Amino acid sequence: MIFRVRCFDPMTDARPAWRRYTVDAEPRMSVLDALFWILEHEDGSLGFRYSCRAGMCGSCAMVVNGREALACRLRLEALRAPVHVEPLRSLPIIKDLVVDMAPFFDTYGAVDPFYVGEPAAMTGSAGAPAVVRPDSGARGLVEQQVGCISCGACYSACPVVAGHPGYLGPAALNRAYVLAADVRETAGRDRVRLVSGDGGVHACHDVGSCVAACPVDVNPLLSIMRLRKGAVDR
Amino acid sequence: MVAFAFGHLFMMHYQRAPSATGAAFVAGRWAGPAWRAFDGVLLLLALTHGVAGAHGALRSRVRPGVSRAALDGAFAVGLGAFACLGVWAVLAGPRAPGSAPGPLSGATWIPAALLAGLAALAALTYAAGLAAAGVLCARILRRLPLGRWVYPGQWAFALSRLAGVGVLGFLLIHILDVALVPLAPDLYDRTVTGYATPFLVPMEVALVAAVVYHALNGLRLTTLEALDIRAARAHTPLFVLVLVLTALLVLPSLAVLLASRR
Repeated sequence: MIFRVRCFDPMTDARPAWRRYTVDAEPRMSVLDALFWILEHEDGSLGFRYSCRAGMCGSCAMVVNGREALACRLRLEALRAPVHVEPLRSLPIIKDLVVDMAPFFDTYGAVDPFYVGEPAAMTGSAGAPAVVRPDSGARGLVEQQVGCISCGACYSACPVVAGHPGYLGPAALNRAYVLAADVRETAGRDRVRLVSGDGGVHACHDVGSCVAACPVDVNPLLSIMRLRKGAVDR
Repeated sequence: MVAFAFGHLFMMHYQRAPSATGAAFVAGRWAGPAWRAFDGVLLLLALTHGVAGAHGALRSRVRPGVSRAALDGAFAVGLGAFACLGVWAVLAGPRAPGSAPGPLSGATWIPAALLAGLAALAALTYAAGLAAAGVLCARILRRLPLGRWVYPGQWAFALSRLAGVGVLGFLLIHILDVALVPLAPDLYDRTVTGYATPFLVPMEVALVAAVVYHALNGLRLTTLEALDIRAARAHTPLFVLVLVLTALLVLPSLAVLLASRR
């Protein structure tokens, strides 16, 4: 199977270029398996990230045939050859398929992505845990959104991220929503205000590519819409 | 605004061809206050919406500080100037029948400049469109990835932006040409007749398509906001519906345009 990988070595190359490889594809092989095959048999210098190899960590997020995906979960049989593999978009390239995730996590940090709460405010009793039942409406508000693995696929797919330097991006805004919608949280109003300024929820143009790109079926656009509607403004 | 825009579009591109909307037509339409109020409200709504959109798109790319303040100022001045000119033209209305030629009737360079500007915009649009189509076809034939264009939402977003920019550009020229109605109705007629030049006819069709698409896409986004969690599945089908409706709604205006040229 022909693979064309967008490679770039900042030490030697002026700009990224396609490199062609022929992979001895086997049944049920994933894109990550193919990259390992290339590393072992054709190009020992190929750079790419991976960690869990089980679709849980998000480290191997990259662009395959134009779409963001987790390389460990995407099977070759689902792809049309030649397979084009590129690094995530809108992020500086360190080498080949490895990108600098710092800008992505900077936007994440900008929304204060940590729980701010006082259980006693909900339970009326200091020391008692504030419980949100899994079958409750409160859980339902964030059910789909809480599974984000911070892989950066939505950030890469979003054209507003590419064109608006200060935009927080779908992942960060999704995180803001998950926290603001948490009934145990006490920073809801402040959090909504934090993401309502320049580069916040109103910069989103409802493109929807983030929803299509997410490999774990999170709907960042829904989070942004709800933040915009102030649905979590309590 | 959608209702006002579609109403105006219907009267100017479906009931009759644009070349039949000379100074006499405007005079008849503006004989009473209702249509003047309609046109005035449409002008302010469309101009504000268009300028806000263009300003928002550019502002995000400019650093905060002096540059952004200058951009904000330029847009504010531009909006104010065009709004004042447009409202003045509506309020001043057409010249009384039999009255002396308007104060600018001798300025024949004005319609020439407007038409030249439109022709330049048309040339740029045609060239850019052909170039984009060529690049897209080449990438498809060479089996190269299409980047973010694999996502339907990217197309919806880009087409809406292009349509918005195109309609705003035309609106600014339109405000200038309608200002000729009280100042030089003969030059207004010359300008409107010039719009029917064969080279500009595709732009007339594109204008109708741009207004229709931009409005329908806006309604699509409003609908998606209302659908909330069900919006995820509706994104692409609604986009396809918008494209189909746009194509269907453009056809009658094209028929009127072609019939007027016979």
